[in-house]
Amino acid sequence: MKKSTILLLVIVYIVSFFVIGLLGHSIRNYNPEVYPESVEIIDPDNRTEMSKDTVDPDTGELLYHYYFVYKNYKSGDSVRIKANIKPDNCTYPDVKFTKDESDTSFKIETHETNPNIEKNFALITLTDELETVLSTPFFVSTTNPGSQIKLKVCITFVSPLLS
Amino acid sequence: MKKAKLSTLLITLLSLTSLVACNPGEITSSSNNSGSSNQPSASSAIELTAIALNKTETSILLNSTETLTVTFTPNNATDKEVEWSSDDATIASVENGVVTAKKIGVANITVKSKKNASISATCKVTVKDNVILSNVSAKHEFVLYEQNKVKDEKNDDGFYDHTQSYKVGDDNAFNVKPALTVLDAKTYQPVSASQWLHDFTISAKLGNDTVGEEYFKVLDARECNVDFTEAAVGKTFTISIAPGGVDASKVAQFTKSITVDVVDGYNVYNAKELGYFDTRPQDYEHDVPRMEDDNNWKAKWAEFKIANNMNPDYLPASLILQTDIAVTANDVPSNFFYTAEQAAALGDTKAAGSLVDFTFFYERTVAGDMTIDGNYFDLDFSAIPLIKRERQKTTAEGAVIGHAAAFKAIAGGDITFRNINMTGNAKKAASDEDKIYAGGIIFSKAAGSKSLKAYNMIATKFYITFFGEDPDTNGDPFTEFELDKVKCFDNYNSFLYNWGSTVTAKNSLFRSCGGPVLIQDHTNTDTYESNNGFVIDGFAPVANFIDCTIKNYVSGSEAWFQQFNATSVTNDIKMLSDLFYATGLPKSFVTNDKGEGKLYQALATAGENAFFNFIVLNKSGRAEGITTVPACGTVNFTNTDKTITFNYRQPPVDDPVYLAYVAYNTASDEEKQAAYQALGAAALAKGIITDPNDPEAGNKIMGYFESLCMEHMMLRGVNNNGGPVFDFGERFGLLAYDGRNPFLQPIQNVVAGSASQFTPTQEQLANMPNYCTIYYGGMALVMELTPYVA
Repeated sequence: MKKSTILLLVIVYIVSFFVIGLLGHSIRNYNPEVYPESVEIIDPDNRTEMSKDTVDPDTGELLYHYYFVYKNYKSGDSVRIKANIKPDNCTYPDVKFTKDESDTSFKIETHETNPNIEKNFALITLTDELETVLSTPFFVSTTNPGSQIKLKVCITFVSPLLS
Repeated sequence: MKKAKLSTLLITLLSLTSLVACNPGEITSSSNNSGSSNQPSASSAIELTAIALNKTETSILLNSTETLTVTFTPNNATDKEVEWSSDDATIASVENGVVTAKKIGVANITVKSKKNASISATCKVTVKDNVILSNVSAKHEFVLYEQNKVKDEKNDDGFYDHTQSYKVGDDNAFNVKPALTVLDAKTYQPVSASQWLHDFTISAKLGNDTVGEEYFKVLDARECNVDFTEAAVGKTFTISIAPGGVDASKVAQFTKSITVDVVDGYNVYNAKELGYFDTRPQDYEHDVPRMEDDNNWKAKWAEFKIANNMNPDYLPASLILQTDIAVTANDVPSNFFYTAEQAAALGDTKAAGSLVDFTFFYERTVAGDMTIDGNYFDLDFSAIPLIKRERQKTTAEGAVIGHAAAFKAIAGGDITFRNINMTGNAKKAASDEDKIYAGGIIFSKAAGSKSLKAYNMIATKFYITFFGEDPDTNGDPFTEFELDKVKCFDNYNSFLYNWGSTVTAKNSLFRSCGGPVLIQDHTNTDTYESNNGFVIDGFAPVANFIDCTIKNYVSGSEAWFQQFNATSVTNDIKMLSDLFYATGLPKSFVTNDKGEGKLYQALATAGENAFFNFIVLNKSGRAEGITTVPACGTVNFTNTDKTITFNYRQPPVDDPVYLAYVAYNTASDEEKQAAYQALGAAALAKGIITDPNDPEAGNKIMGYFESLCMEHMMLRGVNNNGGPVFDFGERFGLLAYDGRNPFLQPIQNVVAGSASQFTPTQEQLANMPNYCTIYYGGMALVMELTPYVA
């Protein structure tokens, strides 16, 4: 198709749109669903040191939205965290926990894998003995359609030898 | 000899006396000095015989310092002036004994006597990481890809297709750097991954064979940028990435791999690069009257691309998202938004910073196909400032007019969007002020392109998701819409707005919209002259919804299918094997712009477990409407002998459903009265009513039993041949069980409708494998014939 044809087409289309019709119909009484506005991650047991929005001071790069340090780790210890979604009347009140499945150094248990765990809680456990320091990076995300809130979270376990 | 000894002794005594008298402290300082500033007396030198450092070996963290100290032998040696040196100052430098660790590695720090270079000492300094690599995960985006891929499609955030491979374009670099968790070695707080200063070992395999530069190059071993060649297109590779600097025991644990399919296209890492979709013709001036001074949008895009180090003439075959992307006002040319001056000059109908209506962010106007592959990532327009509408913004009922779109395709080839989670910026009209901003942008418009395809997508909070327009001034075809495995949520105006396209939506979900699922606009099958003098060929849009699920709006009163500005009959809107869910208020399925022709569905009280796997609908724009009331009954078919048996079943005389049917339909007052009485007794027995004399008893009874009718639909009568009779005067059938079948081609013109009844002949039945189209006046009813399940 020639360039002039395309141009004509474009102009005709635009002009015709103004003349021929408009999207004039009514939207009435529509109460949309309530999407999540924020997610807060907490350590309900106060066993860790938490910092929020840890960034690289040089580059400003966001490293983690929530970063927890668990010192004096002993074999078999677990850390429990909880995700709180706002607002309270959100249509999508649940979150999902996601990790790199190829990373077997730790595991995350949730309500989906263990019904004894409450919804929006996660239990993070190391799978091996800890020699020095091990971090457990994972994501917490909402479950609404469209763009979800996705948080980068990390719990770092520190051996007593270093603590 | 004796004389000589006396002379020597005398000279020595005189010299000592002279020194003491001159500066007695200098002798002491010199003898204790380990630095290099003292100038010992040559005549009184105590020879230095050896020096040593406090450490012969040490480790220093990168960017740290450590001070080495020297010990002299003898301690009172006269000359303690020394020189410091490093055999690799790029690793560790030294000054006056202070060693600075500059780079990971090993360096020897040497200190030696200035006077006698053979007297020296050395310390081996190992510069170690000042950070700890405490975890290596697969590339963040790849984890998200894997997560999104496996999400259950039953969840709102889950895609339908879980099998799509990870796509990588060959046109530019592809980053494969894993997500490193790097900690400060002292505080255990995270630091940037860039502080892990080791290179990665990166390789790619095609099958079991490691490939060379014919297919794959490592551009940057530290940042993990790689590049596939054109020869790699169409092939699948597994890339392996291993970080350096880790113990051998951890290499396997820290090595990550990803498998990718290489395609012809460009890897998009930020929103600005979406501009490569845009191919506006040169000198294309957008006809927005209020933007006269700033309306050459092609030129604006070119300026923008150059300013952002993008080639304005580059036209990739496809764009492949490599991360979640959020488009902001800074990611497109600034003239897409009103400046404060423009807004002021235009009065209060505009708002500074808001999007100019009729803005198309990315517009494609060239021949050829284009694909945007999302790799299951998000493409989010929610941060785009809303449009303050012109033309006094809203109707009395709250209508909002919107014409801006994220993507626009004109007169091109196939435009395909796939595996993308799209979010618009539509807000809802909670207040009058909100109304003039509400609505947001359209996801995609198309006019005259070959097709607009969407596969495995989620589209949320747009004004309209897909909009097909009338392009037909040069005989160009309409753009066909092909939706497969698409989810549309929570649009403001409608999900599909159709001016003449053939719309096919398969295996898709449409839920919770402020307006209809589908609007058919400007239907006119005759050639006509528009108001501005253009002759436009007529068009009759066709829409097929096959194996789709359509759920109710949260609230609202508009029909699920609407038609506007029609001057002739619309072709079919075929609903085949679809599921309809509705709760809350009664909904109409179809209407025209006069409010006529509402088909009220009857599931007001039936809840989400009730559904139809029906069919339908079509109507004429300005012709007669369809009016019906809740239907009841059951339609059953067998298809083994190609005989349609509507299976009019005579229910037990005390069947409350049957009684409801009789009560509602029968012409005989006596029969009706008898049915009501029987129905009342059944209602009492079921506890639907407790008092037959309750003035509301009748309504309660009918409300309950009419809902049951949906599960036991009965046709109104039989014809003389014992076959089925459709009577469109009051009712038509709605089937109430899920008999979903694959889509089959329609049989054309099975019968021309006559009067209000249609009785298929055996020959016609033989040609009706699974569904038929029945024309009735201005309406066509398309029915799927679902095999009877007893």
